Amino acid sequence: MTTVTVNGIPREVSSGPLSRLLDVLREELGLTGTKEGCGEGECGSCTVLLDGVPVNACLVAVGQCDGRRVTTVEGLQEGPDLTPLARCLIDGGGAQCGICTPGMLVSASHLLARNPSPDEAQVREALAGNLCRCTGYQRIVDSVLEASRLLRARREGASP
Amino acid sequence: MTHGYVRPASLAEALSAVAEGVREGLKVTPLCGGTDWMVERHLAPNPYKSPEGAVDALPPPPLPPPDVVVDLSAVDELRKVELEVGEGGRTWVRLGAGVTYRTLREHPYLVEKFPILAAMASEVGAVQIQALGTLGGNIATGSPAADGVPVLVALGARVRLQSLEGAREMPLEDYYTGYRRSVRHDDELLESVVFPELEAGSRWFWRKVGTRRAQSISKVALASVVTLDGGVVTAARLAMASVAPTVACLRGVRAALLGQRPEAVPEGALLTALRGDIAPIGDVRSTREYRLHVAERVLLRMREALGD
Ligand SMILES: Cc1cc2nc3c(=O)[nH]c(=O)nc-3n(C[C@H](O)[C@H](O)[C@H](O)COP(=O)(O)OP(=O)(O)OC[C@H]3O[C@@H](n4cnc5c(N)ncnc54)[C@H](O)[C@@H]3O)c2cc1C
Ligand code: FES
Ligand code: FES
Repeated sequence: MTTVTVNGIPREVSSGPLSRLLDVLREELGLTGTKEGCGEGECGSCTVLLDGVPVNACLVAVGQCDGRRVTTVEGLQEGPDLTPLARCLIDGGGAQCGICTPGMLVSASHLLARNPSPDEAQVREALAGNLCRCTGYQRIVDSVLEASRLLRARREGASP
Repeated sequence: MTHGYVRPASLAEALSAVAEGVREGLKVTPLCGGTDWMVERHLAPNPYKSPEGAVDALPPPPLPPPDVVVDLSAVDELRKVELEVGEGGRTWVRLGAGVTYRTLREHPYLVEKFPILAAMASEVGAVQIQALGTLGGNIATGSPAADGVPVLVALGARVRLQSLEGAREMPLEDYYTGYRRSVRHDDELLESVVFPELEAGSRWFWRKVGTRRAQSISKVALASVVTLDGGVVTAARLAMASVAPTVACLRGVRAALLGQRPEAVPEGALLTALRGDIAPIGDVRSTREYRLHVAERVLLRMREALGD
């Protein structure tokens, strides 16, 4: 039996240890926010945080997660409202068909947590492993930069 | 022995598990970051999934040929970054086989002393791959397009293979015996690589040519460490990816450079030496001529960089 802390809650997983983390999240735990694009580590739509670090859930065997923490797009949610990052992606046209969006949210929120003031090149590098066939990327990059401004302003507003 | 999967917590346990599997005649597969193996396995029919696609909650059925996966992801010893004192008091660095590209980009000592490793690592896949993928996996897969291997060869790395019986160490270029073939025995694990700090006057060069910046396989990659004394080459190690069945050590090019000022070596002599050192093929990704052309341009670019 594998025990994984998913979005803060310890979960016992009965799927075999070589099952892909992606399948366990979606099929056994019902967390369908994480998407499968390619199944080969190329597209990033399955990006989750493993012990706080972005990885492709299609490349991780769930046995490797025993005793570790996994955060999915569902776990980024802080309350009933959309996060500022998600709001910016929607308003900025950075989410269109939506398949890449959960992975983009996970990668981008990890970047903003580590670096609250990224420049465009840093955003592009952090998202280089997340492919999108719809937006042409510029709108996603702009949305993330907008979210970083918003979050900074909010933080400065909170502690003047 | 449990068929299927074990996740040892130490190197000793991992070596025992490997030895036990081999003794029982099973096919033993070490698993590290999974970025090569999980892709290979997923492209093959997935025996752990029922035909309807649901994940099987039951233990997997025995596979022909029998298969044991020894997951190395909990073996901390394989993630070590250690300094050793070698011949002549020179500092050598030992990196466990489980060291990731992410570590190569973030470890302060490595970033300072071995920027060539960080430069290479930052061009492997994208951050998600860099967080999982390891040097040991890169070496063991043995792809001619591996990016870590030529850099380690240029650094003069030796690789340590370990089994329950003991350890042996050899220059990394002697590890490969052919396309995806190596001297590793089934009961051995890649334990670590070890290489010296650069000598004073050494210059490093790394250039990867792919189709795009992220997530691309090298069409050609060149890694080199060249030592100059008064503008003259006194030592050189060069290795190229994707131009031969295994990593290509450019020994002819090295001979052409040694004892010379790089800018004084005639272009023709350098390129003739290169053609003797490599054997590029045409495949789905590129033609032979294209690879040869790129290899030549990259080598000339390196020579220019030495003059800077
Ligand atoms: C999207 C994507 C992009 C990629 N981009 C690049 C790239 O730009 N450059 C590049 O070089 N590679 C690239 N790769 C390939 C791969 O990420 C690297 O080769 C990586 O270093 C493999 O390491 P791993 O730990 O994930 O290997 P694993 O998949 O865990 O293992 C690979 C093989 O090595 C064996 N093995 C692992 N560890 C050991 C050990 N300690 N002893 C003995 N055998 C062992 C395994 O049995 C297996 O056969 C990419 C892969 C993907 C999916
Ligand atoms: S589905 Fe995992 S990277 Fe594409
Ligand atoms: S919005 Fe469709 S793939 Fe990105």
